[in-house]
Amino acid sequence: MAHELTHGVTQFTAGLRYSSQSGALNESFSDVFGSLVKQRSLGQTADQADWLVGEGIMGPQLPGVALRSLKAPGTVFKYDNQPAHMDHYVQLPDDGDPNHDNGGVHINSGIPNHAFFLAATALGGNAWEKAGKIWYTTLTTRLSENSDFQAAADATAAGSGDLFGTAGAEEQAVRAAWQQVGITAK
Amino acid sequence: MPTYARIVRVSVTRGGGIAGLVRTTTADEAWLSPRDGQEMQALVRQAGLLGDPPAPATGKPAPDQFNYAVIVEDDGRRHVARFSEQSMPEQVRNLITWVSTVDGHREDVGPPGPARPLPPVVARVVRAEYGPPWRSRRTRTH
Repeated sequence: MAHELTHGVTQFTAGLRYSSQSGALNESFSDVFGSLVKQRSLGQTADQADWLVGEGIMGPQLPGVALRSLKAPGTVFKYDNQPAHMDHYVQLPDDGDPNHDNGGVHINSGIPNHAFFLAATALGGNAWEKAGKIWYTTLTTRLSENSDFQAAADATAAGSGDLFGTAGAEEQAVRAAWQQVGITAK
Repeated sequence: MPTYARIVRVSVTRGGGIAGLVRTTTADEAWLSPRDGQEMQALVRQAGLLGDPPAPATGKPAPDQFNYAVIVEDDGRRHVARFSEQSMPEQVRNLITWVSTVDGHREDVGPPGPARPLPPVVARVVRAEYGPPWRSRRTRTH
């Protein structure tokens, strides 16, 4: 539910185009804020959270634990083929063919999802307090329609510096997280 | 006498949604009863899918919404029409519902990825118009 509401926020702020990398970012912000709402309502820290998305709808037709995982992309569902690293980015054309998922927006969202998980768990505590804040200001003030993963890495790094102090623990955690998924933030 | 193509196969591919999963539903005339085969002809015509494809849906793709490709194959030609949930006409929706529930249809689900080619349409044997069970002993070929 929060996943869907976040698409609305995205539409009126960054306006990330629902196609290829900007679309995968769009999807990822929805999974990130969906996770934070869940964690907040359950009173869970980043370590306690399960980081799963869509576990409520699984069943005989959808075999698995959940639709997606920010902690372990690609592992939770029979048809989960999400990458956790840029090396495994899935190139699909955004040509309107339903097979191509608008250029893989539900697939490649695994990469920024995992970056958020890494940053949040490195910082510890409640994920919404630091990592969540950084991601929120990034979405609402720093990104635009065609922002790609590199832009998101740059923006979250800069944002963490602005919010919590340049080169502080927060910024370092954010940079390390993106590095771990294969992107070097500027 | 007006000539018209005989529809041999209708495939519906649905992608997007909240998981991006791709569901393909196919009704091949060879899998259906003669009555359902006739029904398929009528529904495809009512859906207007044999002429020029409808103008592609304009506007930005909506997140987590389904998008559809309806592929109609007659003897030798393939007609592809694309729809979003918002742009889909009523008659197309009827056809899709019918294809998804008719006895003999087949379904396939998988993750998004490179489009899988549909199996080729094989040369068709025309069934005898009269006679008992539809797998008739007497058949004609054109």
